[in-house]
Order: sequence, then structure tokens, then C-alpha cells
Amino acid sequence: MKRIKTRAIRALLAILVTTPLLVVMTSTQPAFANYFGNGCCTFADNGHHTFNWDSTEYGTALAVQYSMSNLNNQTDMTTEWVVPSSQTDNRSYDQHYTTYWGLDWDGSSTGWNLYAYAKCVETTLAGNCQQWQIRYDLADMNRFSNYQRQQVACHETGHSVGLDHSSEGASCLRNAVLSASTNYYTSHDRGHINGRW
Amino acid sequence: MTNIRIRRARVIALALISALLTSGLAACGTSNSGPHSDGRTFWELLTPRDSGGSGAPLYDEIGDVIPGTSNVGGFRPAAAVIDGPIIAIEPGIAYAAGEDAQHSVIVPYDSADAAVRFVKLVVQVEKVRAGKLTTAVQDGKIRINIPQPNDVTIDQLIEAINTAGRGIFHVSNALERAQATGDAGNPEIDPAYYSQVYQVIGNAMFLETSPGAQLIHPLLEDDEFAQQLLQGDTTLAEFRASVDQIACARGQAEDRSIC
Repeated sequence: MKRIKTRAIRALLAILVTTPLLVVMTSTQPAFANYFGNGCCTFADNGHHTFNWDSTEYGTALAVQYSMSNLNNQTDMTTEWVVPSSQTDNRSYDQHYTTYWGLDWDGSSTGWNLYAYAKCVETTLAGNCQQWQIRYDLADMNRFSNYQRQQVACHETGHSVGLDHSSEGASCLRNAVLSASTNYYTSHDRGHINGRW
Repeated sequence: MTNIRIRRARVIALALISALLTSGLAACGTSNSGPHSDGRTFWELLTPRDSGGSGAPLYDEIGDVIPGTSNVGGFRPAAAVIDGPIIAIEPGIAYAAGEDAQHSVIVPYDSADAAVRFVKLVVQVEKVRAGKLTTAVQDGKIRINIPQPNDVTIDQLIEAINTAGRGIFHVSNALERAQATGDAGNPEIDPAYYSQVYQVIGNAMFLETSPGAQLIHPLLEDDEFAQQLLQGDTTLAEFRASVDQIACARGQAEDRSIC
């Protein structure tokens, strides 16, 4: 009888100790940085990300080229410049946009001056993005330094692989991108990408 | 001895199963948050999943958007601040994917060529808190143009309309605004459509989805900036009082009795 009681007490103790521990283990989130694939931007369709920037001016082209090399060097994704087609993952354009796609590029109404905008224009059957069109506003790109253009291109390329805006000051995915302290991805950003590819 | 070990193992296994079941139930309880059939509320459905931009704000405080202030760095305030519930949603305007051009092409809302779509929020104007609604007010309602993600249908949004909530909107008629900013001649600005809809100025639209709930700001992606505008206000009642205070100080309150 005594043995049964002891076992019952042990079992109860074990439940009391392990239950809160496991609840904590399954519900604790890391400090928020950004979403990946389930935030602003769907996943890329595969781990090989192709680029074309033929329709951009020299300064923008250099920045997009930088963002391609950076993605290749910083993460497990591979990248390649390709002749443009409907399969190209990241197609860049630049113009002096004012109301393109019904957006308020200079922010005169929204109060948000838009430097660049990435839009998934073609999705796969699985719901991932086949092609992102990325449009850079020359009104801003032409007044930016090379470094600032790289920050913007890094930001938009991040969207094109599924990264949402980041709460980290060092990430180029920071919402107000020019206030980011770097022009590349943080270990948190890289963790998202490398975890998938 | 072996029996004791087996019994101990059973006890531990039971405890682990119990703990996993408890934590699993707790997780389920937090994930089924909305009444919509797929679990998403109205604003969850309207959260972009196919677009992302980069930029910077052009104004600093909510007073910069409320009528009666002088232009801040070329940024004009809204024509009116209105208060009321969102009662319906309707199809809006759409633009094709396009290629390398300065302007995009308007296509029918349900066109397969549409890359970007907008919907119209129908808001019942219960009170104009500041400024004036100049045009396109029908039966006390205005229509507000906002972007729609491509993976959401108008039917899903209609089904979830009961979770849209109510709030305070800083608005101007879209065509009048385009005329004031010099954009009215652009091909994206369809005068027939733009004259009938309003635009949220400064993306300043603050909503509660249930009475007394914490304010949300679906058009302001930068939460840090949104909190800067709210200055500590967390509920609609608090924000309404702040807006009224500024409107009164500027002589812009529609109802002077609140001042």
C-alpha cells in the first residue's frame, strides 16, 4: 500500500514538474526579428535565385548585382544572372515612378516615400513565387550613394526570397532601410534562408 | 529491480504524454483566433504576402496629418478626419504587371493580367471629427481605396467583414488629392474611379476590431513609426481624444461643442 502511495506521489510530482517545463519549451519564441515566407513575402520557388537587371540604369544595376553576390556569398542559396524570361526570379526595373501600379511613389499622400517596391507577379501551384518584379524609383536611387543603393537592393532581394521587414538595426531588411547599420543580412536573416535551402 | 525500472519508465512516459497533451492544447487555443472559415480575420487577410517595399516617412507626428496645419516638407494634411465602422468591402481598381515603362496599365479588377489590385472599404461616417468631406459621400458612407493581396478573393473579405472593426481615418478624396499633388494627369489615375474613392492620408488609419481593444494600424507597416504617431494612446477612445484636442486647437473641429 505504502509503495503504491509513493508511486502515485512520484507520478504526480513528475507531471507537475514536466508539464510547465514543456509548455514553456513549446511556446517560448525567440526575440522578434522578422518573418520568413509567412510575412509580407512568399518563399522563392527554389534555392537557385536568378536575376536580370537589363532594364535598369548603371547605378541601380551595380546595386542589384551587389545584392545578387551578397545573397550568394552570405547564404546557402545560389545565384545567377540570366537572360530575362518568365522564369527569372528577380527582375529589376527603374524609372521615375510617380503613380505606377496605383502606388504613391513620392509619398505626397501616404506620407511614405517609396524607394523601391517588390511584387510577386507569378506564383507556382504550391503558392511560392515564380517571379518577383522589383521596381526602383530613380528619383531616390539617383540621389543615393552606392552604399545606400546597395542597402535598398539588399532589402528588396531579401523580400524576393521571402524575408519580411526586420526589427534588427543591423539588417538591410530594416523597415526604414537607410537607417540600417549595414548593407547585408544578419545571422537571423541567414538562419531563415539557410534553414530552408 | 527490473520491475521497478519498468514501472518508473511507465510513470515518466505517462507524465511526458500528459505534458505534451497539455501543451498541445494550449497551442491550439492560441492559433484558432478568427471567426473566418480559414481562421483569418479581415485584416489578416489584407496583410500583404506578395509585396514589400522600402522607404522613409515624410512626416513626424499625427498633427501633421490633421487638417489645418501648414504643409510639412511639401506633405499636405488630410481634408478630413472621420470616425466610424467599416460596413462593407467592394472590388476596386487593378493594374497589369507591365514591363519597363514609367506608367502601368489599368485592367479590369478580375483580369488574369492584374498584378496589383485595390479594394474599396465602405465606411459609415458617424462623425467628421475635423475638416470636411467635400465629395462622394453617399448615404453617409465613403469608400476608401486600399491594396489587396493577390492570394485573397473579394468573397473571402466579404465573409470576414464582421472582424474589420471601426476607427479613425485621415482622408482626402483621391482625385482632389491627385490634382493637388500634380498626379491627376497620370494614366494610373482614372478620374471616374478616383473621384468616387477616398485615400488614407499619411497611411493614418487606426482601428479597433472590438470595443476597447488595442489599436491596430494596418497601413502603417513600420510599428515604431505608428507608435510615434500614437504618442502612448492604445485605445480608440484615447486616440479620439488626442485628435479632438488638436482639431479644437486649430479651429478645425467639425463639432465645436467637443472643444
